[in-house]
This record gives sequence, C-alpha cells and structure tokens, in this order.
Amino acid sequence: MKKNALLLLLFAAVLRASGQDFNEKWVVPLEFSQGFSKAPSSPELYIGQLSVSPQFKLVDKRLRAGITVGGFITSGQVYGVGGPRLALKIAKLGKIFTADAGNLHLSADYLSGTHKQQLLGGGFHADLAELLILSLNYRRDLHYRANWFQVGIAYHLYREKIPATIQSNPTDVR
Amino acid sequence: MKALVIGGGGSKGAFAVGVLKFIHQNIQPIDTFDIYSGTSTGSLISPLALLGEMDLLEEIYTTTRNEDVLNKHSVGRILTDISIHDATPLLRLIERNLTAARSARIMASLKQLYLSAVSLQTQELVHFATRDTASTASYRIEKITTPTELQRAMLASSCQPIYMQPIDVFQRGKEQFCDGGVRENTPLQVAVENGATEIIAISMGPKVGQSVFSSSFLTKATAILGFTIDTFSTDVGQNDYRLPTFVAEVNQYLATVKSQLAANGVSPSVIAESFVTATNPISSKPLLKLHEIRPDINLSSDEFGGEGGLLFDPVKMRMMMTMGFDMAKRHFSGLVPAGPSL
Repeated sequence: MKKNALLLLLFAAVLRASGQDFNEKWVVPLEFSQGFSKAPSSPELYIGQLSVSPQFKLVDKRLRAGITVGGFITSGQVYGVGGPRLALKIAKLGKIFTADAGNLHLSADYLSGTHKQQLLGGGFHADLAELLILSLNYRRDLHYRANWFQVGIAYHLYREKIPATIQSNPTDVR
Repeated sequence: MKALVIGGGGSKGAFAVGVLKFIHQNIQPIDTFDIYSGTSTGSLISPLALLGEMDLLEEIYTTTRNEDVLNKHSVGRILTDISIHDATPLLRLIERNLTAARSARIMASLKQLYLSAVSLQTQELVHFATRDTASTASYRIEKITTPTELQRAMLASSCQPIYMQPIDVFQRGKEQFCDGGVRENTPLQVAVENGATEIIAISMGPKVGQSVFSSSFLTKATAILGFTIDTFSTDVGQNDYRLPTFVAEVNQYLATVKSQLAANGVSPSVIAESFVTATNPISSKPLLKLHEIRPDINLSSDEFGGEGGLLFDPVKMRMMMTMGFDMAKRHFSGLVPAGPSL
C-alpha cells in the first residue's frame, strides 16, 4: 500500500515536472564521482569513477535513455564499466525570470564491470541550470554482493546548442 | 488616413485581438486602415489584420501553447548560448499562418505596413516596410520585398533579447535584429510621420499608476533586476505616447484657432499662409485623434500572460481576449475617455 502511494506521488510529481528542460535530443554529461563500496566481511574501499552517459530524449521533458561508459579505480586497480541507463525527470527547480533554474531527476542503470562486477542501481541528480549536475548514487554489485555509495559532479560535455541563426523553412516560396 | 498601431506583449496580444474583434464588428473592418504598425506580438497581428483575417487571429491567440512559440530552456543557457530559449517554433508558426498566398497579398497591397525591430549592430530603431518610405533621424526604414523577409521581419520584431535569439532578417550575415520594444513598444511615431490623422493604438501595459510590480518587499537581486527591466520597459511604453499625444493636441488647438480666425472674418488664404510655413514643426504631422486602448490591470502576472508575455495558455489568452473586447467596448461607447484629452 505504502509502495503504491509512493509510486502515485512520484507519478504526480513527474506529471507536474514538465518545465523547460529535459527536451534536448541528445545530452552527454561527463561525471566524476567518488565514494566507497562495502561488501560483507570486507573493509570499505574507496571508489573514484569517471564516466560519460550519452542519452537521447525518449519522452519530451520526462524521460531519457542511453548508456554509461567509463572506468573506476579501487584498491589501486582500474576497471572499465558500462551499461544501459534511464533518467526520469521528477521536478523542476524554481524560476529565474521566465526560465527554470534546473531540474531534479532520477536515474537507473545496470552496469557491467571488466572484473565481473554487476552493478544495479541508480541515482538522484540535481541539474543546475543545465550547467552542472550534482549526484547521489547507490548501486548494488550483484556479483560481489557489495553496496556502492557515490557522490558525483557532472558537466554537460555536449548538449544541443540553441541555434544562433534560425533558418527559414526551405519549402517556402520566395 | 487612419492607422492601427499595436504594441508588444507576447501572449498578451490576445488582449489586442479582443480589441480588434470589437472594432471589426462595431467600428470598421480591420482591413480598412491605411497604415498598420506593430511591434513584437503587434508585428504578428498587424499583417493578418491588414488582410482582415479576424477569425484566424482569434484562433491563433486562443489556441497557441508555449511549445508552439518557444523551445524553452534553463537559465544557465545565458552563459553558454545566444539566448535562453529558442524561437524556432515561432518562425514555423508564422510560416504556417502567413502562407505564400497571404504574403503575396500583403506585398501587393497599397496599405502601409511597418514592423519594428532594433539593430544589434547600430542600436537603431528599424521599421521593416512593404512600401517605399523615407527614413528619418529617429528611425531607419528597411524595405522587405519577399514573403520570407516578411516572415523573418515578423520574427525579428518578436524576439525579446536574451530570451530569444536575434534574427538576421535578410540572411546576409551582416546585421541582427531583436524586438522593437527595446526602443519603442507601441510604434506610433512612424504612423504619425507618415500622415496618420487618426490612430487607434493598442498597448498591453497598464497606464501610469495602474502598474504594480510587487506589493511586497523585494529581497532578492534577481527580483530587483526584474523590477529594473520592468521599469525601463514601462517607461519606454509610456514615452511612446508623449509626442503623438502632444502633436494631436497642438493640431487640435491650431484647428480651433483657425476656426476662430475664420469666424472673425480673416480670409481663408491669410489663415492658410499664416500656418503653412517652413518652420511649422508639425506641418507634416496631421494627427488629430489618438485612441489609446490598454488593459486597466497588469497582464504580466502569471494569472494572465506572465513576465514578458511568455506564458501561452489558451485559457488565459481567452480571458485576455475577452478583456480586450470589453475594454474596446467601454472605450468606444465613451464610458472610458480616450487616453489623451481629445
């Protein structure tokens, strides 16, 4: 019952969250995150991760899909990681003049590591004015039964520019 | 010569369309003016008014939504892009409605059409015109000769700087233009200079004293910046009327003097010679009557058109259209006196 109520609340928030961003065809955030992993009967291990997550618009102002590709370092070893990712906008931030100040969105991903890691999880992200994204991520390593906690900061390596020149419709009769 | 002058205001243009609806039904068909002059949303309305497309105007200003006008983005775009929002959908909206056939009729019309913008390179007030007209010290005339230039001039006139990208109307890579409201929100002057004797002017801002920016203390710099911009634009909008109002009052005064002289036996030729001299500063400005029609409340709140009129909500636009219709009815039935004391 509680679960349903939570889902209903989330759905209602998403419906209200259309706002003014999350409408680019493509975005490519580059994220640096760090944190730790904790497996049963093991010490906490530092994790530093660098990844890019190219995503395309699936539902305008609501949902993006894409992949995450990157690498992480832990215990002095470097590993590769990659897999699919979804991002769901759940709220818009306040307005400055007529423009939104940013958005809050959730992500879900399933990442495979180069050393049998199987990471299933997601994150909570604050996209500040389409400039920087602050993230809080949790993933469960299904293979090593470890929990990963990370905080991150991302920069939009690529997103569609607003065209400096608007072209007239080429079919127009001149 | 009668002129129709429509100011800027984004979605608040629905108010102007309501005024036009009343005029069309009760005063005169909207395609029977001699001069049409518009800025911003007024530039989108004026060409269709010239064609008498009242139904189309009503449809556009009661069904258009945000996404039909702008691809909106977050404020951070101000640091990385040419503007915060993208006005490409607005050009497509113009192209869909100002078809080649309609454009051709406008270009062939003998009526004068002026769409105002401001040059980013020279800071000049520029009127895009479909007929040959002379530039003055106050503004430059750029003649438009193709449907595409007409569509792009309408777009340029509507593109509020910072929010929307500037437009290269002639696509020559030499000059960009933005919303004419930066310099003249209700473009009366070009109508006065080109021989208008009676002007119906529609502005979307309230009169002095009716504009309340905020009833509470402002505690954030962004709010105070908003206040500053709003005050500048309100001042521009009020200044637009000062000179035309003065010209109309002087012409009315001179007409009274002339009739008194004639009543006292002065011959018509002497009267004519006395007033038509090279030094008469308003000899080429025969304006006698100026109707100033405005809303009596601030339509820039989120309850109506939002800041800059960038909130396009069909329900709210229908409300503003009804307000415009009612305000015109009150104006022309004499319940509300015309702006200047004419």
